Amino acid sequence: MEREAFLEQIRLKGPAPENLPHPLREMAEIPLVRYVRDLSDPVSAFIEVANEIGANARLISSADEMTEMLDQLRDAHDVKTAVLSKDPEVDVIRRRFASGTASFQAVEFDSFVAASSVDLGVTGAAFGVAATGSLVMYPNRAGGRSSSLLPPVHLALVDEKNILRDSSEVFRKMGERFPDGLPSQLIFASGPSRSGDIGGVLTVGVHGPGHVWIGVLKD
Amino acid sequence: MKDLLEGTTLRQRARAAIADEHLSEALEQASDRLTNLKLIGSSALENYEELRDAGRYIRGRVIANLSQVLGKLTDNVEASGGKVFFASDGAEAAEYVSRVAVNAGARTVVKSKSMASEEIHLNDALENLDIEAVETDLGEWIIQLAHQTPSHIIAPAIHLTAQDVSDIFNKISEGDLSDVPSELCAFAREQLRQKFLESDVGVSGVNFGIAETGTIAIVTNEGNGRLVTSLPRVHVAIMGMERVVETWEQFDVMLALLPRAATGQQITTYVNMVTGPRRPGEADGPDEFHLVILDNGRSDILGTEFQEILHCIRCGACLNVCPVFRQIGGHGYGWVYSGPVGAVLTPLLNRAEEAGELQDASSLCGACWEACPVKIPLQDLLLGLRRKKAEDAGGIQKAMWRGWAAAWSRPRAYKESVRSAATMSKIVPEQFAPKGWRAGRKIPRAPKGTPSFRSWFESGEK
Amino acid sequence: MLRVGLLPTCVVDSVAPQVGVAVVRVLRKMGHEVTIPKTATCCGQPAWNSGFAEESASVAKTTLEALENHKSDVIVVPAGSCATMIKVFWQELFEVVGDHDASHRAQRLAPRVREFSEFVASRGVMPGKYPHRVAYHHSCHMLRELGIKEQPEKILGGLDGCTRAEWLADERCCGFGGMFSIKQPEMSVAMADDKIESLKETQSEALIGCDQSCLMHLEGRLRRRGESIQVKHLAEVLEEAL
Repeated sequence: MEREAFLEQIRLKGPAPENLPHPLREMAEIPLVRYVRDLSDPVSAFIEVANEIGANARLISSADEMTEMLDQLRDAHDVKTAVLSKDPEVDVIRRRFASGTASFQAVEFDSFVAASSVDLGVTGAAFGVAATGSLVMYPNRAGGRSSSLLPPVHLALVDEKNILRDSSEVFRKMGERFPDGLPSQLIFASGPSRSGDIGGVLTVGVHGPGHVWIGVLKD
Repeated sequence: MKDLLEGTTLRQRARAAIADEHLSEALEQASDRLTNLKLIGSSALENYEELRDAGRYIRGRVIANLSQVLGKLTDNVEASGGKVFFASDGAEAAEYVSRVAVNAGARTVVKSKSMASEEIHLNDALENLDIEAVETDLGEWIIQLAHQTPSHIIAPAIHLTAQDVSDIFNKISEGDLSDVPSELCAFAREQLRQKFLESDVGVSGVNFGIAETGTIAIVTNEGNGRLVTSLPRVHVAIMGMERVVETWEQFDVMLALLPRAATGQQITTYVNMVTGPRRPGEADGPDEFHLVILDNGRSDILGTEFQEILHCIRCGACLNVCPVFRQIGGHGYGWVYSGPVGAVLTPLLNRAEEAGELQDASSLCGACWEACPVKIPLQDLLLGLRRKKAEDAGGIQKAMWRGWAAAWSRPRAYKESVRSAATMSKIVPEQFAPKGWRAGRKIPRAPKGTPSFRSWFESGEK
Repeated sequence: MLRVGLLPTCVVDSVAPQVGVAVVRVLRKMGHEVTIPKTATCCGQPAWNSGFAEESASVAKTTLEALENHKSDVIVVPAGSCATMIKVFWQELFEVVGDHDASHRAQRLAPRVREFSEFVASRGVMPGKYPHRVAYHHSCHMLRELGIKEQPEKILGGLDGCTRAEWLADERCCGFGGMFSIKQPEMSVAMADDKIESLKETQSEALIGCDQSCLMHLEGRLRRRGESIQVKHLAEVLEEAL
């Protein structure tokens, strides 16, 4: 059907009757979402919430701590290969792989084929959202969509200064966050992939990563 | 998907569901679980009630200005390189999607959960062209393999146990699978991953269109929504025309309500917001993005007393609290949408004679209204539908109510009528009581030897 | 002391005179003068819920006139559902049939109409004794439309020896739903069974409610199942306790 005809048909319907038993009410302004949890220290709240929803999140303040996390991650999930996204945060550990000092192999992310055959996806996140433990990611930053999606394990690195209080700091500031227009895909990822579709029992890793590790990088 | 409405009555379907003990138990457990989770989820917010009011206001505003909002959404989708198709009915929508799939040379289409695609019988249309349509939401896939239909808006396989799923999977698996959910889940991941990697077209639903930037948002927990929109060369999103908001500010509120009302989560694992196809320099993502905006009877609801049903955001909260859904499950309602929202939508989106007596599938208890994150007064709408139905009621029914009204609007006749009811209740044998009542209940009997209440009162006794 | 006008309701008038008697005795014991608006019949709910608005309105209007002309300080209705019909749905009903005048009159009348337990609770605690373990059924309209929840609980809680059992399904619909109970008997009975299963877990001696129609349905089901738990309107409990 033609656009104009379709929209005209809607326009012609006119307003709903006014004498309804529960009439609609105007609202002067749209309220913010207010949380019971204390979010005054977004970084610690982010780590706390992310861990609550099944991620393994921690603050990383030294190269040694980074090494420790990578070793733990490798041992926990038997990681042999990884794909590295183009997010700037990944540069912190890219050198390790280039110099061969890392304890597993890594390839650069250039297509979903690269991402679909490795044990681990290493990406950055533009933001972390404390209220929901969410990672905010998008392809023009990461170089694509699937490095945080296809591997069974996902490691995300996010700068401490990019931890936001809640989603309104993204959604209600879109112009400020994305002055050049929106990315082709904006992802909020919160914890591991999950499903309750089999007998109401929670299972993880059904399509996306079943294990999510998060390193919050201290300046 | 087959329409169950054809050829069965509400009572027949209800009877079958109630007789199925296995189903009853699954429904009870799922309803309790989801209702409890919702309470936990909403209590994590200080102003959940205020947000419900905001949600109702936002939805009302959008629906009142729907043509402008959709016009803006379309302009912005096109500006970001996407194509928009307007489908007046299911056939037009299915035909368009089929054409896109054929043009892409697709042999397999992967789908993430979309109620709209169920509504338009997309899988049948694709299969007629020898294109395999694979549901990738775990619950939907289970249902597809079992040749069943979804029984819940957000939990399509709610009526099946892990053992049922194991039996279904074992028909296509080479080895023997146990009934351990994590093992079954791993099997599904492996099977479906192959489908994702080889599909040319991905079809998704839309939870919200965001008009100001031409974005569509999809919420999922499993990640299939991300895969469908990341790997195939072509992405087609099908959106019921009412599923839109104007601004990101509005979206922020809707996103606070939807997952909390649905599963009690603070946010779904993934919120996927797509603005057009992939951009230069990006390693993956679709080259084409199509948005199908579906009417399919919705515009007939606009401007009527039922308009508010278009505010629905498909969270399923009304199903989980509904005492009728708890007994008859999604299949009892006979069409794509079930529970209170289904009892309202089905008669409005289908021809009245097909929808049968679905507006009667409610005791009007109001639990749905209480649970709805955007406060749709579902019981008002059900009552309105009953009034509409009564206009076309048969002569006997009309005569009965007219007779009742004539008697009970006259005090003397009323007194006679209740007095004889009292007398009858004392002496009538059970088998002469109305069949519908005596089937499961003893009939109420006024205590023998006592006068009627009014004559007791008038006698001045203490 | 107030002058209380009592709308007995059609269920009391036909099959449950004992509830009406209990209501009158309790109200008198509280010191009120009870009268019955003689020309009042029914609230019209059966037809309203079935979609027959005109028919409902003609019955409702008879009762509206009777209640608004009745010389009393309050109108007490011993049924949450009928009280809701009068206080909430009448305005809507009369609008639907185009009788704006009646709708305004219903709106004016509404504040004077009180559900039984709400009225009793508003008059302060009364000493009484009821040494039984009971479960309270919250009926839907009373709970969700009138928002009356704590009042009946408070009344039961104030009686010596009365224990009110925690009940998971206390707010779940019993499946009566007026004509629903006859048009959809399978669903209606299944809903009652669901409620009864949960009730049995509370090991209560009596099921108490403020809507005789729900109670009539639940009692009918309990007896058909051969269960012996007592079923009582709150007024009957108070009649015994005070």
